Amino acid sequence: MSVAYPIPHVSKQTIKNTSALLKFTILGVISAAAIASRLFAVVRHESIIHEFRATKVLAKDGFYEFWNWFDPTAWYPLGRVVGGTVYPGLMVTSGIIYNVLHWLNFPVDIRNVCVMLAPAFAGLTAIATYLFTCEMADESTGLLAAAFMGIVPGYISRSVAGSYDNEAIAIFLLMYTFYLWIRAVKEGSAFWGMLAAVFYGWMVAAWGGYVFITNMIPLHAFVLVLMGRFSHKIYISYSSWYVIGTLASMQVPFVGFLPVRTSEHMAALGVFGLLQLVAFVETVRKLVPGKQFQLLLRAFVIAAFAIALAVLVALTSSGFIAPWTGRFYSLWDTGYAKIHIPIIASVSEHQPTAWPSFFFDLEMLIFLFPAGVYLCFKELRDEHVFIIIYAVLSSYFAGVMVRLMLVITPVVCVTAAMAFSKLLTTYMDPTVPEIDDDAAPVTGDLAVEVEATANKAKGKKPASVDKKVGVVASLKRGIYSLDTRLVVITPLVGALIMFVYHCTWVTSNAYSSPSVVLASRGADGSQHIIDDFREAYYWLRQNTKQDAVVMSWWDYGYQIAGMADRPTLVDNNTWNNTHIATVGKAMSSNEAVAYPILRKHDVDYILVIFGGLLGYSGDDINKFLWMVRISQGVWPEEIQESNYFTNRGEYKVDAQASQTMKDSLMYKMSYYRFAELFGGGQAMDRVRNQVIPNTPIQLDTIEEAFTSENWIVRIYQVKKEDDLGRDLPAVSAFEAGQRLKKSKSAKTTNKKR
Amino acid sequence: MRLLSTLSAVLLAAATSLAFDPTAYENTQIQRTYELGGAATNVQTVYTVRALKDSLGGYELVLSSPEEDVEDGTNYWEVMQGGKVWESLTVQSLSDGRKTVTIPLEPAPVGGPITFTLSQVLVHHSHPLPASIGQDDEQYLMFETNQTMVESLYSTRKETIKYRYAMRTSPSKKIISHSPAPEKYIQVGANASKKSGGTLTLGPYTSVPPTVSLSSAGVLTREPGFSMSPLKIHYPFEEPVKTIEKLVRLAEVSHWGDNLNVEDHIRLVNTGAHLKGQFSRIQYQMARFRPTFPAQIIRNIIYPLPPHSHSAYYYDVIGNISTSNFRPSHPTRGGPAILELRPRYPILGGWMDEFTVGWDMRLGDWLRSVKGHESQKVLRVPFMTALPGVVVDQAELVITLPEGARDVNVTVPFPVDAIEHSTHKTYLDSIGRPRITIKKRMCVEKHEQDVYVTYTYPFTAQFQKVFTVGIATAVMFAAFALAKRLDVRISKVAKVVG
Repeated sequence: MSVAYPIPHVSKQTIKNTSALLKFTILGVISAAAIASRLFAVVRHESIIHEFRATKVLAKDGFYEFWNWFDPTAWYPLGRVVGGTVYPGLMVTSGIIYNVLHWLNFPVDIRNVCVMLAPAFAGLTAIATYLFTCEMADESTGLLAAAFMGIVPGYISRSVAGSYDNEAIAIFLLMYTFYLWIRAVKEGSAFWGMLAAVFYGWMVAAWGGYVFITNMIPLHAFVLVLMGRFSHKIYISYSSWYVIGTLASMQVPFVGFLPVRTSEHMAALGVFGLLQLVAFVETVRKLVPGKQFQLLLRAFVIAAFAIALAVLVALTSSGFIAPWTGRFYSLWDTGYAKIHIPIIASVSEHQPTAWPSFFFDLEMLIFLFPAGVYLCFKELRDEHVFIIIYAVLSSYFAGVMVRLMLVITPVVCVTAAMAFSKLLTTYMDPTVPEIDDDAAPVTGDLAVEVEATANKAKGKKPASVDKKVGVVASLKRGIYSLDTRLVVITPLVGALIMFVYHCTWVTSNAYSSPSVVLASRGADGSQHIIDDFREAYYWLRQNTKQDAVVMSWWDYGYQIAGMADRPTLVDNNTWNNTHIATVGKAMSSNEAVAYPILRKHDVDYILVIFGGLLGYSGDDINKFLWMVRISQGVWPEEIQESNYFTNRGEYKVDAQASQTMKDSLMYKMSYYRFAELFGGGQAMDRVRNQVIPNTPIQLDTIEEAFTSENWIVRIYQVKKEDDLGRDLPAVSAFEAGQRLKKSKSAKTTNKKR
Repeated sequence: MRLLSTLSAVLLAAATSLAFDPTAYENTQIQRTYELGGAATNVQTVYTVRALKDSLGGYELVLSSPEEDVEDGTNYWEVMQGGKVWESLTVQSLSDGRKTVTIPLEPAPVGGPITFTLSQVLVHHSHPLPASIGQDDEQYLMFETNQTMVESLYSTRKETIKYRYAMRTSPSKKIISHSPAPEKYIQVGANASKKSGGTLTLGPYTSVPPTVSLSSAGVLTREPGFSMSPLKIHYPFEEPVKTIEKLVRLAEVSHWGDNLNVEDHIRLVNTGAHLKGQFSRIQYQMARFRPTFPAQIIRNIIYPLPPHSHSAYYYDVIGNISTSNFRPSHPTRGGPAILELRPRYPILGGWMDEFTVGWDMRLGDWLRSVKGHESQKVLRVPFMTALPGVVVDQAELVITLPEGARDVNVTVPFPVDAIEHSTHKTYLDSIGRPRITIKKRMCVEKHEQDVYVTYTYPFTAQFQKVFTVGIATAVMFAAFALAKRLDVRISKVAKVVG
């Protein structure tokens, strides 16, 4: 056999050792790169982390204290049983790491463990992706997939250093569980099935998205059965996974009996039953002669199916099995949430994905993705079926919700790596067959490969190459000369380099700015840090009573709890819609309505975010309509969205703003004394580019307590009831020097408005 | 080495009965000046003393009056003569915890006047009045004292006491009012008190008999005929009253890194007049356009660092505080490095801020080896950083020595409340590092003095960590190698029939 370029002669053993060393080194470098590219945020803005109080409790007081931890400061006055209402996987994982390090005399701060957890697990995810891909294709594909996974922005967006979120460890667990499942299916071993179940249990403890695995694995098994590929391997691995995995998942208090009582988990149970039936049928078939068996089988399967369905329907209608939850409906009908659960729709990451974000998050991988799926169809071993199902499902989910881009990212990396690796190996394979004029047959494997490449390469490569490939392939020949190889390989390498640049750019510019610190660049390139959030939170922490209750919109709940260490009414764990709506109602009503609500909830301070001075667009006035909508959902008679628009249906804050808008607590708190800052000039709101009217805003029931340097955070203190029993508008009128009678008339006009 | 000798004097002195003669000396003149300030009030007393008899022991200097609670105040004192600190003075500890200082005046001839100065600091003797003021109002403090006489065991010919308010920004500010001064012992015809601008003068008192006496049991008692009547002075104060409630300074020595890291954990409180009502940002921002900015607001803190400090940092529990400037000292000429700290928010009256400041220094500037015994080290650590006018209620210095240091000895420049030794385990430690904790209450500027630590650090101790890490790595490597070669399968043929 001749070669296209010279290959140095080395012994087989040397090649084996070298490739092992290379693999190890490359994986190490990939993990390091995955970790390093997630450190932009920390290097630039240091580590800012808000919600790790639960982890702190776990690290300080131990596991059982955490398990039983009732947090009286969140969701005041309801409080929250944290141990039983969170997925504890994240906290337990960091707690274990913390304790191991301390046992080894590494007294790291728990905060640093939390900050570095996501990058560390991203490094592990790269390795898990390598293992997973190795099961699908060869090791070089695995390395490529690991490299893609390490730096792809779609995953980085949720795992930068300092983002202490469930997703930080969940993607690693997802990939590793899948790897173990594939391993189990391949080997038919209960051991691997058990391992998969253990990691599945960890995943359940870590992220609500475990339901994806809960349905992926049964679906894989089901499809394999439908394809007539039922084997004892599948039976053993699925049964061991399902039984142990379900038991493991039920150990998590927040999950509890859900695996046997909700619709989301019924597929796994159904497939478990089906596999038992199929296995039973298989056994019977060995014992019963053919003809009778056919009849028996048909009757049996139909009866079993009907009975199972009837039982399921009966259980569901009797309420023993809960129907699908609203959050799942919103996956099927994207408009569902907007109407029925505005709180879900109000989060930007729950919006349907825009097309450009696929390219933004995945770059060239999104184009290679179908090619990789096609390659899976070509081979279609059991594990390739898995990839195909995964690809189809996750494509749908990623299209429905921005947040679920995270789920599609691993499969895109794997399939893109398969396509890319195929291209590279085809064009770099040095073997050149001896070409006779009468078309000497090319070795089987190579021919198939070349063909595959040629088919796939259509429309992707420069036309000349494409044509050439097509022609040669049809002659059972390949491209063997060096120049034509280079024509293909050079753009591919170029694409890889571009990919790295793109990923780094996206990571550094889009995903590495902590929401708490705003940075701007001066004309001379110097960095100017706007640190208003922390200024205000730290003021709250140092200079208010320890038990002062702070009311704010739920977005800032975790930040206040973490940085200001004060009780909050609502926070980012949005479990109680009514409570959030109450806050929304207080914010969107006038003072007379809001004050009793504030007093009933013992609110001491109200915190609003106002970006009008600086042009910070993520402020509360821009979120205000969601507050109105959410409270309208609970009190439709009292709050109506239409009242907050102008007559022409515009959302305005200037002189044309509707009276309801101007009277709302949120409007008043945002613009209180804002116009004075301009000393008689036009008070321009830089976010909405509207001029705020000069008429002074009168606050009777609350008073300004603190405003941060750039006015981004404004904190108001709620006044206590008057000592003399007067109502507060009368008090402020009295203090302003008006006579009591006058103030009374003023109050009545106030009410009329 | 005044510090050392003072210390040894303290240790040596016993609370024994003292043989002393109140007629041996006479104060020809005493002049005391109170510098009215914020949290700290400096007191300077100039004594002019004449011996009446030949060599009858030293002059006993009383540091505090019998009524005063010594536990509460700073016990800082210093005697100076001719501009120099008077060293090797003997301190007598009295049975009630008070101290007198014996000043050796024996060689002085009879009649020849000798002059020396006693410096002391009073802490928290002024409080804001009114206790709360609006954001733009002026701040006034009320100084209160019971001591309108200088305590002395000897009779005094002439005595003057001045209360001076140092005018800094606007000299037109005056002492507003004061309570009447006690009239006893004032020469007929002289004014009881004289107020001019920022100064209030009491006296001169003439022919004052001894105000206290020392019993043979070593107890200071008030002489009859002196009753203490309080004096109050109300004066404007155009600076924030800064108090550091708690200061913990952590100093860590690294021989490998040639580094001395110092980290101060500070809880700062504006103990001036509390803010009445609420803070208004717009009022604060508009104040810039007015001639006088409300002076009682802490806007920034100048934190001087030792020469050649580098890598300074400034943060609090929720992260870095980006508003600070660091001016390093001149690379050749030296001089202090300046850290300008701006708290996250302006600290108004009654507000609090908690933060951490840290920096690194070259170890060579602070550590010496004893000549001939290279393993014996002498380390110098500044007890605290002096901030003008700031009182530290609770100061703590924690020195962490490298692992393997032995025979640790601490020498403090002034009496402290406690010195504790402990062991601290941190990164890569196997036996832990010796740690010294020094505590002292009520510290002022003058306590910025060096603490000396001597210890033995053998050459081999430097390699302890290398050794530990080496062993750990080797064990791990061996374990992996073993695990890779071990076959734990139950049966060789583990094939499932498909």
